Amino acid sequence: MKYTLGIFLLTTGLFMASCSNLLEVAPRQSIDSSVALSTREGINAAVTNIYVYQKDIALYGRDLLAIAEALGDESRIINRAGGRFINEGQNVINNHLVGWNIYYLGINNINLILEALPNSAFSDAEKASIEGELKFLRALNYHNLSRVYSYDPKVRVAALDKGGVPLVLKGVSSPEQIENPPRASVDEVYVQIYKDLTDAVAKAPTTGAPSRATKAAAMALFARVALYNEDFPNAIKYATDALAAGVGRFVGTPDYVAAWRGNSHPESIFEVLFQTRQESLGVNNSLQSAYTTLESVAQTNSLAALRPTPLPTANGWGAIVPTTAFLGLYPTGDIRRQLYQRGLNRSGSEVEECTKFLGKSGVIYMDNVPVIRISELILIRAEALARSNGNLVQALEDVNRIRMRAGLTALPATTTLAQLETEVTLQRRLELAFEGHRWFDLKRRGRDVVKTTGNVPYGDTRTLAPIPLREIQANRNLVQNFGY
Amino acid sequence: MRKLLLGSWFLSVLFCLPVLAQDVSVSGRVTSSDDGSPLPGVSVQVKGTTRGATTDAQGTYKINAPGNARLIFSFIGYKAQEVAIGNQSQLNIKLENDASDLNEVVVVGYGAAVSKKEATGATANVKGEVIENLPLQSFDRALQGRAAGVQITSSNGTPGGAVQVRIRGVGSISAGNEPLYIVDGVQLNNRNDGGNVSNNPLAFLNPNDIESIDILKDAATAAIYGAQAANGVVLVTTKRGKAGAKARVNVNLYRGTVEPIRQLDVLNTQQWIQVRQEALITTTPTLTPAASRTTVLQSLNLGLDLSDEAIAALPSYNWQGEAYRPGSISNADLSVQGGNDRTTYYVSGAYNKQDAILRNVDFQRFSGKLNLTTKLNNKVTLDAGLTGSNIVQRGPFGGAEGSLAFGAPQYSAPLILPINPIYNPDGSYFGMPASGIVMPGDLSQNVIANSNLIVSKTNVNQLVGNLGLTYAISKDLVFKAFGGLDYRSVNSSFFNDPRLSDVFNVRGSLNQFVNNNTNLTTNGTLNYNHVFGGKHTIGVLLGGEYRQETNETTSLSAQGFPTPELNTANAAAEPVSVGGFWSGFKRAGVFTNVRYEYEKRYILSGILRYDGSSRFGSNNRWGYFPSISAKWNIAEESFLKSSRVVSDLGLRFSIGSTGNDQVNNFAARRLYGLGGVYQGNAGIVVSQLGNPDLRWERNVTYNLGLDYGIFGGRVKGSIDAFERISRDLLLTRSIPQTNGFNSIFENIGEIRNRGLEFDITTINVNKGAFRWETNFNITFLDNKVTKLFDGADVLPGNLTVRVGYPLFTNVGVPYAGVNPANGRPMWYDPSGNLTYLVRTADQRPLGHSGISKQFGGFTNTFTFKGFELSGLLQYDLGRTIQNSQEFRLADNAGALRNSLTYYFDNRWTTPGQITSVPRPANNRTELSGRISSYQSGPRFFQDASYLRLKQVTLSYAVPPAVISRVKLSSVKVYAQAINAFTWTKWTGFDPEFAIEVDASRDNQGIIPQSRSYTFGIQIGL
Repeated sequence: MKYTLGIFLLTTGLFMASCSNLLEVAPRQSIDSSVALSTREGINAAVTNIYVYQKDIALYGRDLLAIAEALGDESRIINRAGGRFINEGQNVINNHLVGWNIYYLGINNINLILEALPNSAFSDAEKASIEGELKFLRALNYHNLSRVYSYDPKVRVAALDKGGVPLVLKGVSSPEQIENPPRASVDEVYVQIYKDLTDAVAKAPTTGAPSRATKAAAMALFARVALYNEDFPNAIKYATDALAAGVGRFVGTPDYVAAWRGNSHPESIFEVLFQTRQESLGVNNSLQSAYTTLESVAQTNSLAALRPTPLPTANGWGAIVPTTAFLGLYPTGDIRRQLYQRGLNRSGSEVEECTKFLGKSGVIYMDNVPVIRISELILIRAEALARSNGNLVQALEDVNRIRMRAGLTALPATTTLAQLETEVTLQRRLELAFEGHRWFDLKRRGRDVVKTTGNVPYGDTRTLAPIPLREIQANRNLVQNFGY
Repeated sequence: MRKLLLGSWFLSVLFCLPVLAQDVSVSGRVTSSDDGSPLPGVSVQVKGTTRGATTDAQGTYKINAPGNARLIFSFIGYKAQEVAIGNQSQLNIKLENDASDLNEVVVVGYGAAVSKKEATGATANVKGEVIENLPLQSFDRALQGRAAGVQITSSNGTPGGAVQVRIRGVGSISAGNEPLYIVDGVQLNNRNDGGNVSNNPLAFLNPNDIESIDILKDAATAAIYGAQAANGVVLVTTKRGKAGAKARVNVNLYRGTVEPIRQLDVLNTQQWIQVRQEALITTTPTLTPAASRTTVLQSLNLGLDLSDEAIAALPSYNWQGEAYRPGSISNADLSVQGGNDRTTYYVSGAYNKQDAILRNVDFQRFSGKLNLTTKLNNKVTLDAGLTGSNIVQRGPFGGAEGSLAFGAPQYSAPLILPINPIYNPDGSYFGMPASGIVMPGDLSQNVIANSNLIVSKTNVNQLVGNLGLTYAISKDLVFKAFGGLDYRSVNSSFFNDPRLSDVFNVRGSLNQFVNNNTNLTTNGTLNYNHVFGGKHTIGVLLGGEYRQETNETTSLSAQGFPTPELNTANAAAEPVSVGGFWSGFKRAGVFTNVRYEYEKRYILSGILRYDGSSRFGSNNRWGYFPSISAKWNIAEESFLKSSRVVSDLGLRFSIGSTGNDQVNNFAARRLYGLGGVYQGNAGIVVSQLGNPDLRWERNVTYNLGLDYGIFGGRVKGSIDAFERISRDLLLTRSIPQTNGFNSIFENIGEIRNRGLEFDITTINVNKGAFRWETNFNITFLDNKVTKLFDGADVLPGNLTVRVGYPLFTNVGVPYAGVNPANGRPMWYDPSGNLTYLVRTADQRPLGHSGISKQFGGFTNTFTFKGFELSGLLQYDLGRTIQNSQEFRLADNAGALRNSLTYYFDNRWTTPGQITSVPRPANNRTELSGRISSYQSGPRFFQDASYLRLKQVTLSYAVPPAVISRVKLSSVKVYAQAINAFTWTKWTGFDPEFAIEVDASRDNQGIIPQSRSYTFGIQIGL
């Protein structure tokens, strides 16, 4: 008996002594944070994932375009997507652009890579190139955050302005690094975006466009940011530089529609790429389904021949469609009008839908999304020139380039400044419709959103998106937007 | 020498003389008191000597013994009997089954059991026979209403589906709240490893194989399981063999039907058309009635020139009736048991099948069980058990735990516009994509086609085995080595038919996964028991334990099937993705329990466990879990011992601590995980902040209990008051997302559960052949969050968790009904003023919560001769929950979906009308700018309390005289109804469904509870 007890105690003792190892279980689909970014492969994979966030439904995957269109004045919502976008379409309070967490997820991962980069195994040239790429992406995230959640720098309504967004520039990967950042001022946010873009322009690679960040993309984004900041000289400069960078091709009239039927838009200076079948966002979450009932490029092309019957069954929801008033803005003969086609019957309605996103990748519910393309740059330069009363000849030439490509006549040299400004605004609408610009354009000009479902006067609570309530609760330094 | 020899012979004769002179030969037969069957191998011993014999196969024995001696008959599983010979030559003995003794025994963990009188902890016991032959696939569901302090809520009505078990309230927010389940010593993995159907890891065990279930509620006993015991421990003991002359065979057969409890009253086509027109005009007041009528007809694909008469003649189709259908139940099981005094066995095989009330959803199980106990020698006993089962569950589209998928019949059936026929005149499905006809309405999928064509199957193979070796080192000291295995393989496949609209354009899709879980437990215990001086009993248990589990998944998805009949992965043209997953944990611990008893009057017990888990941070891997408990058996005191009124009176007290480690296996680590794919490359992303200080969530439980028995046990029961404080909660603390993370796991916060449990069993009438027995139990529960972190009074991101309020506190902006003047819905703003605008920031507690305040059961059993009628009323009171299903069903054609007639009948139509239902409006909102949608949560809170006639059974046992003629030992026939009646104010399908603190769960798209009727026969051979 003593013997047994002895053995028992001995085994128990051994058992306890070996316990430190006994309880070791290492995960197999995760890496410890301390080693993840210590290799070239680790950093490359982490950089890859920064782009993945841009594909999120809340960002370029869908909402940054679709919800912006629903909020704006060019679309109406057909209730055939189970109520999707209805509230955004009617500007019901609290139904707005989203994505706060995704932007900051991206920013934190960028910050962590930027911190790991100096001690990595890359050459100095490689380090600079990655830094440039990441700074472009950080600037893109901050600019989108800023235009969704805060007023634009030069059109602030002092009484309603609660600041820009929190500026987080240090990576967080362990508990002691957690912070409760307050909102920086809008100007501070823009200063940071300028800084990042300046670095990006200097360091970003020149190859990899349009699905990776390049020098040209950095210049193009700089032009857009400067326009939002009403910093017209920089808008003009960077638009010009970007156009000269040789990335993207200004498509001509004959292939204008075809450009919207291919996988990648030839004008794209930067576009978000969806490549493998598994990246398809599906009927409930894709941009294609939000805009159209049509299934594919092939179906779209063959539809006219089939009409009036028999027509195939509708696929997507086709919930966000252009208003008749908006379609009426296209002058007769405008080639861009061809991008709106009668869709299929769903819930008893068969209407004209935007066909810019059609599963052009060859996989349904999967399209690359142009972030910045040549036409926008031309219009940025035209607007900046016109509004700064600069080189109006150049401005007119830019506007006419867009007009004539669309099959319209050139505006005469006698065009007044006021007419020019109006024309730029109109061409932006006609050219960039359903690409997520109109809502932000109205906002950066401090204009009211006028629509049949009820207007949103500039400065109304609903001009800005609400910061998620959980953020206000989790961070006592964070102030909610006015009225929420 | 001869003299000496002679002398000694003489002496010895003298010595033996009395013996020889009075020795008699005794013979007889030993039978079982249960069924009169002969018992072979019974030991027959002359008391005080080594003389003995054993019974033969017929149960007969023969022994020579002094006429004044006493014989002891002993046999495993039976009460030993001592009989004086009294010069009889024939002694037939009936040995009584030990089961009656077992009744009074409380299993307290690691194979130890103490008599109920000596138990110091709060425990509940449910006998196997009570839950026998219930048409329920897992034993947890059968416990509902039968044990005080134990709240059982079926997640949904899927047969073999998930069940939520909460012992003494909800103590955790982010970590699990499920108790530890131990079957014959094997600690089970009760995590639901997925599948397309609600599945229950406990369904592997045929409930008819269960002998008894013990539930450890307080720390007095549960602390022996240390870090896993915070939510209580459920110990299941399966049936063992009993020795007997012949094997005893038991056959159970039952069949029955299952049917929906309720169908929702939805609008017919005419009502819908009418209210849709009203909704359109509300939103666009300029619309003329004629224009509105045209729009409505157009949206239904009807001719715009349809006359009023033609509209009145339009048909309405009942989608609910087609989706929710009665089904069948059948069960057959056979068990054989027997053995001798060295070896006993129990073997059973069973088949169980039950349909859900939703088309093509069912459960089917084949299971087998073997329990074997054998004495290798006088000191060593081997105990082995093996349960194997194969479960095939067919699941619904969209999952059974709730779904908002338009293709899910359980969600969509009441919402589909009634004008849509289900079938075309030729019997084919209406509205299929290939037909070119689209079903009008938001819900444009033929969900009946989905149900019939989709092949969704979850196949679970599970093996649970235990092997124990007991070595009796001495009379007082026993060593036991134990090993247990719980292996489960889940194979799930979901084939979406290429003819169906979701996958028509990709020509069908297949999702498959295989999940394998291996869970090993091993422990060694040393048990010492000794009585000193007849009064002091000391018991010491020492043990060590190790457990490890690994979990692996491989999955695939593919598209592009040539024909619907070819639905295996190799038929797919396009592989879409593959997946893999691996996880695991290890746990180790040592423990001891020391007991001291004085004359069974005063009992003191202490437990200490030292536990470690791989889940926790390097700084806090190990923790201590102590408990102390005491009992004073007042009835044993001299002043009560002779009382004729009081037969049992005991006062218990315990305090102790237990732990909860039900968090993600790698929650403490700083990690980079897999991200998404871009440009064909896989990305990585910082995925977890880690917390090296992460440790157990700790429960401190106080219990004060009273056990009572009066009038010779005709009235007995117990009363327990408890307080359970869960501190250092394993909480996913929300952090600002600006940090790039949502949350971090920390040990913060505190929840207090207080309660009172009453349990009373009375024999009201016991006269002649008539007997009426009643059991009533009720639990009062008070739950409160007492602390969060950093002085926060609300958990960011989860408004239902707030300091000073119970968990599941309902929040929102209170609904104020409809403005009688214009039919618009109104709410109360924080200062109590009426408003049309709901602001998120104005959400506040509404004064009710989703946690039950009282629950329990009331059982009555009437026996008269062979007849027995028993009924269980089960109740759950005080839950107020949002009836989310009505969120959409209250639209009144605000969208192209059907609505409930209640909302139609009560809608505001005329100025001055007082009602809570706003006027119909397209898209549920009006075009007046800053106005909120009609759909705000607080409109839909309802009292989910219910009282249910859970079970009623009428049985008849055929008298032995009749059945012995056909050589059977017992025959019982019965009829049973489950969920026969429900009394509730809830207006949805059924008020019983599970909600979670940390995840949004509601009643949208769940398969509701069903009602069933079964008829069965139980035959003993």
